Amino acid sequence: MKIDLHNYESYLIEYVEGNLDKDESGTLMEWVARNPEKQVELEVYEKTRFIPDETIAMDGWEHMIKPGTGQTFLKLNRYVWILNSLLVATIIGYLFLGGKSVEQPSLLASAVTSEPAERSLTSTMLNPVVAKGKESLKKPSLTEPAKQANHLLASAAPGKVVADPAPVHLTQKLSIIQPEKLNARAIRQPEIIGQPGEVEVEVVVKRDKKLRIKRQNKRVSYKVKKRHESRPTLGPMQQMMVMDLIYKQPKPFDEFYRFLKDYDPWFQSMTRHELKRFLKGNRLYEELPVKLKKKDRPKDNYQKAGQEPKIPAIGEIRQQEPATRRADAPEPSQH
Amino acid sequence: MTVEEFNTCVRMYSNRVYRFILKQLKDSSEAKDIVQNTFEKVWNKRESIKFETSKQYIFTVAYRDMLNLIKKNSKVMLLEQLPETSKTDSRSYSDLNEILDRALSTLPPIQRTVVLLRDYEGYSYDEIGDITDLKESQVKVYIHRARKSLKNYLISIEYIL
Repeated sequence: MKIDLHNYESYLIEYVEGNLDKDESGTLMEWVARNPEKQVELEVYEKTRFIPDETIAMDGWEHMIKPGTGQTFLKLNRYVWILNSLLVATIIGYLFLGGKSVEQPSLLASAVTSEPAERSLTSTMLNPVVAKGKESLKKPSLTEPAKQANHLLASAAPGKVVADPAPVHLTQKLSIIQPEKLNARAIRQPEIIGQPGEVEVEVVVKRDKKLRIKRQNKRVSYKVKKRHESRPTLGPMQQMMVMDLIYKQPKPFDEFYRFLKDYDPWFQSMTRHELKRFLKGNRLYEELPVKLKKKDRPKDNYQKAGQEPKIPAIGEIRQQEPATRRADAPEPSQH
Repeated sequence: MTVEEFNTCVRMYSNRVYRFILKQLKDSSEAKDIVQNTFEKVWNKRESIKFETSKQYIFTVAYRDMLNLIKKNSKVMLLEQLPETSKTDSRSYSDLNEILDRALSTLPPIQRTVVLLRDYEGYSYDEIGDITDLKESQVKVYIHRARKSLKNYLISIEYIL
């Protein structure tokens, strides 16, 4: 071990780290004694050791302690006790309430007549009770509707969950766990079409990196979008009136709708959709005049500016006349 | 590992892991989160963990969680990125621990980790290598560099001299 000015630092660190044995430490100390300017450096190195601050403690670490085996044992004992009491209660109930089928005298007699112990024990065994018509007591299984709902959600296009044409009859809440089939957009903006108010789908979304869903077990409840309620269509008399009026009073659709509502109280409850559907069904919608768009309407500068119409004077018209005249127009005579 | 052994681990190591993480992150809530996550993972895998090796496992999990958090929050503060004033701060300090903490914060994360594992927990180079996924020689080099940097820092602020 040769210590010089080029390698002394690594020896100092090894010394501080405690990696040098007794002889090596002695050699180093001798070298440091011969080079007193390195003594300070050694002291600084010794101060680079960190001493744990015991005063720093994590508050609430006790909450991480799990209940030990003692409590589990107690819990187990409690369950065993409950089971035992239930068993005893069942036996007593059977003997005293439903025990008509069991012939107690014969049981006692068999016990008195010193039958074998095994036989007397087997005679105390309860016969299985078979309930009649228990199938009717079963609740309807949720598996099939759940499958249906899963199918619907799985077959949905991104951003839109559309039900099958056939209405889905789900009367209870469902838990659908299939995060891989749904994309984030579909979860945020679902659109489930079905029977109004009957379906409530509850989607349990688990953590999924692909979908960038960070929250675990996020529950999102959806109600089926309320479908437009079917209203009574226009009656035959109303239809006749509409067909008559459409030729007598041709108007753009909006105006015609308002006109009908004012025309007769029969049309008070009629919706725009209903009228449009009727007109389109009878190919009358195309007969209505089209309302001109704003840009196609004749310009009305007076209304636009909110000013009074300026009536030009006769002299002004005469002055403007040459400018407005067409180029191919014959020139006025000089006479 | 039984439940009792797990509880012993919590009693023995929770504060140690907390101090180890807190020294590096300087954020008590994050340090607490990491400790809780660590022991949650240990609890979930208690069947496959032996009590004898639990300490190393706990520190390894905590260290990796901390690295992930540092990456996530971009809390890496390299020596080169520090302002010049922090390197040559000539203020007088009354407490050596405070100066050492400042010196520690100037180290790269890996050097900080190996020094703290060495000094706080007394791990050997080999064990530190297991925790930090480094070779023994690399650990030794990092510790040497860290000690040199700490020494230079202490000398530069002329605290000792």
